Amino acid sequence: MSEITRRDFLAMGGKTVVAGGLILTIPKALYDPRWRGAAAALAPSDVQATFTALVEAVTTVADEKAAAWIIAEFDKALPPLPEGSPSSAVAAVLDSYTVKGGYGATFSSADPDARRSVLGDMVKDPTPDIRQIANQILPFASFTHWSDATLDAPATVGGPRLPQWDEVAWPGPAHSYLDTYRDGGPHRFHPK
Amino acid sequence: MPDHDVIIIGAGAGGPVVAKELAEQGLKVLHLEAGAWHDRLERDLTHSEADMTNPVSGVFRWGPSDRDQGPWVRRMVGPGLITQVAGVGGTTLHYFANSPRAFPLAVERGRWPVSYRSLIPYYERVESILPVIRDPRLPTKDAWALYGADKFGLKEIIGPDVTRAGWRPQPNAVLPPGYAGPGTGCTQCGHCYEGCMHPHHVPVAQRAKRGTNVSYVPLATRHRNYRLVSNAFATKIVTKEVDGKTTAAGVQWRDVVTGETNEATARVVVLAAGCIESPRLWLNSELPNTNDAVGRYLTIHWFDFVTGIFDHAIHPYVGQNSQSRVDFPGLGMLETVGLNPGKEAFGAYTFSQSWGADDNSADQPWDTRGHLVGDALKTAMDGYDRSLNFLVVTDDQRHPENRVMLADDWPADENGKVPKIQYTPTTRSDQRRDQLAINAAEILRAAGARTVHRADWPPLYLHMQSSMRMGRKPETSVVDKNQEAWEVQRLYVCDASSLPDSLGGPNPTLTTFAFATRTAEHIAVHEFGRDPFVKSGDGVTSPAGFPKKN
Repeated sequence: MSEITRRDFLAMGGKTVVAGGLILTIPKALYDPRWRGAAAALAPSDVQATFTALVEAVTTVADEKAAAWIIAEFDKALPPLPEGSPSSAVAAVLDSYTVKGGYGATFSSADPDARRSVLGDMVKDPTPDIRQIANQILPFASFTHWSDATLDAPATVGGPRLPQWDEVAWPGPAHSYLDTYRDGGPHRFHPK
Repeated sequence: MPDHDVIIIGAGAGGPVVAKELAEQGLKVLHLEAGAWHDRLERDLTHSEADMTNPVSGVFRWGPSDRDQGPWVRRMVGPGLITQVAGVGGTTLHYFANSPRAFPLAVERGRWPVSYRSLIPYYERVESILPVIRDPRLPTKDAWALYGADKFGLKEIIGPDVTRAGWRPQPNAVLPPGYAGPGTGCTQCGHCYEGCMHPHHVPVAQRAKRGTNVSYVPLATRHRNYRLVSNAFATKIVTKEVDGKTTAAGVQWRDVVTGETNEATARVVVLAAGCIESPRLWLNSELPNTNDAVGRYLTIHWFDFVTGIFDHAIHPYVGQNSQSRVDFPGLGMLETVGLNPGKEAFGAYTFSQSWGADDNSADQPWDTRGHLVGDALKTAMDGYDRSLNFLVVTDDQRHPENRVMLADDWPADENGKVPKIQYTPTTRSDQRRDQLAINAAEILRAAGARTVHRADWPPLYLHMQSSMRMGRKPETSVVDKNQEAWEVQRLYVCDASSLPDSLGGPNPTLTTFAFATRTAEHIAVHEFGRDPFVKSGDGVTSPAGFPKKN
């Protein structure tokens, strides 16, 4: 796989503050010329559909708000492409691996089992950058769905809740659980 | 005359310790921090996973304090995740405050340039100042973890010096509930990782989790000879020639908000920017690197994550995020980790280097391994309230090819050439991690776990250590036993990057603090003619005004 050069990058007019933390080696693969044309051809609604399909493949829920949040974070963290966006490049990669594996024409049109096979193929791909893309979008999808990222404001104690929190029996943010403390004694560590 | 006696770069783990100790000695200290200063905790912190810990735009990401801007770039070779935090307090803003000492075995085996015994007075001083406390009153997750460890055949470890395998309540830098009367200390809210603001309505210096933002920094700011500048990204260490030797003379920094460049001079410069930024700044400053040792021998504790799901409630969201541990000198250690559901889904099931559907774990003590997606993930998350996690923390063998360098394949940013990190575990580190994962699974089984899952993490750069390591010889280390650079006079490195290795597996913060205290004393005595100030069991008073207690 060819790599982005400094000249390529500067020609894109890219920001110099580009990425950190979670998303690290994605850019070099995403800016590969192989994806650029396909990424540029995708409409925002196509990208949204692809990321919604991703979240559904990972969590079983077609969580559109989670998908929109992931798209916004990707496009904030990574430098722009000449055409399209970093999230559209991710969508193009997913579509490409869908076709490559014979699972369908696009990632979003494939059934959930086929989409999971696409993700599995990417996790096992011989190219480290492709494995890295998979290893970033999978955790991002699960974190976004089960955290408070899709609330309109940061979660607060007693504030709005997400239905998935009820499903996993998480009471939400708390200020105190002092009533759970266990006193000492010879069997103080033995669970009651 | 220089502008300051000492300039310290970085207000994370090591820098504030040096700052407090030297400010107390009356020295004129300038302290630079690249991130923001969250000095009003109820305003700046929330209990929100996405708002605080999302690494792209969360409060605790590595980036400028203006969160509308993207994070600062790092390059990495291969998959993984780096967790760095910008801001006064650094990674102690989101850490679990676990504060064990290094394993004595590691000090001997690693041929450290200082003895374990000589470090004890410095450990004791830090343990007293923070303070560090083992609270035997445990929330449910930790009670089950230690029950399992006991059934596994291990005994309790008494005391801070660990020479055999065993279990113990974590020695945490957390004020326990009611520590100094009603309304004081930890509320057990379970949000250590999102940043501690509790208890409300007490002075900042009495907040429960003792990150440097509420412990050492407030102690330093009591002195008028101390000045802390936030949003100040150091871009160059300035040197001059003194008696034919390269000598630190000052620091240039960039105001992250305005973009202005500033410079100040000092007799001594202390580099405490962390395991990635310290070597990056060294290399960007074009300081001497004769033996190409700068940035090498990075260790990361080669983590993994093992989760058991029980038939009964565990309540992983209750209590300090990690309140118990199982030590295995020679292998590393296990510690409990309680997370909110977003990070649980991330850490336990979807951060992996293997594909779960392909896994064949029939001959292993876990039922599944690798990425879980779809119905498998949904089923696992349905057990969230019944799940108990062990973080596998490996005694990571150091290797010169595991390193931080400057990226030659990526554009520089406004702070200079960006860092590039590469890490591959050695065969021995892999073997140790595998054995620890087996131990974790068997402890969970002994405690009654119905199912066990091993995540099989790729590299997580969380406990980064030893990229500017201390050693006996300049050929394989950057600093000497006093953390002074072999090749630059009056330049000291006082963060986890200067630790000799991965300490045998214990969390690095306490040892970083102990070394920083020791070096602060060395600087005071040898650079400024002060008297030694650390004695064994010297009974200093904690910053919260509480008496020494352990």
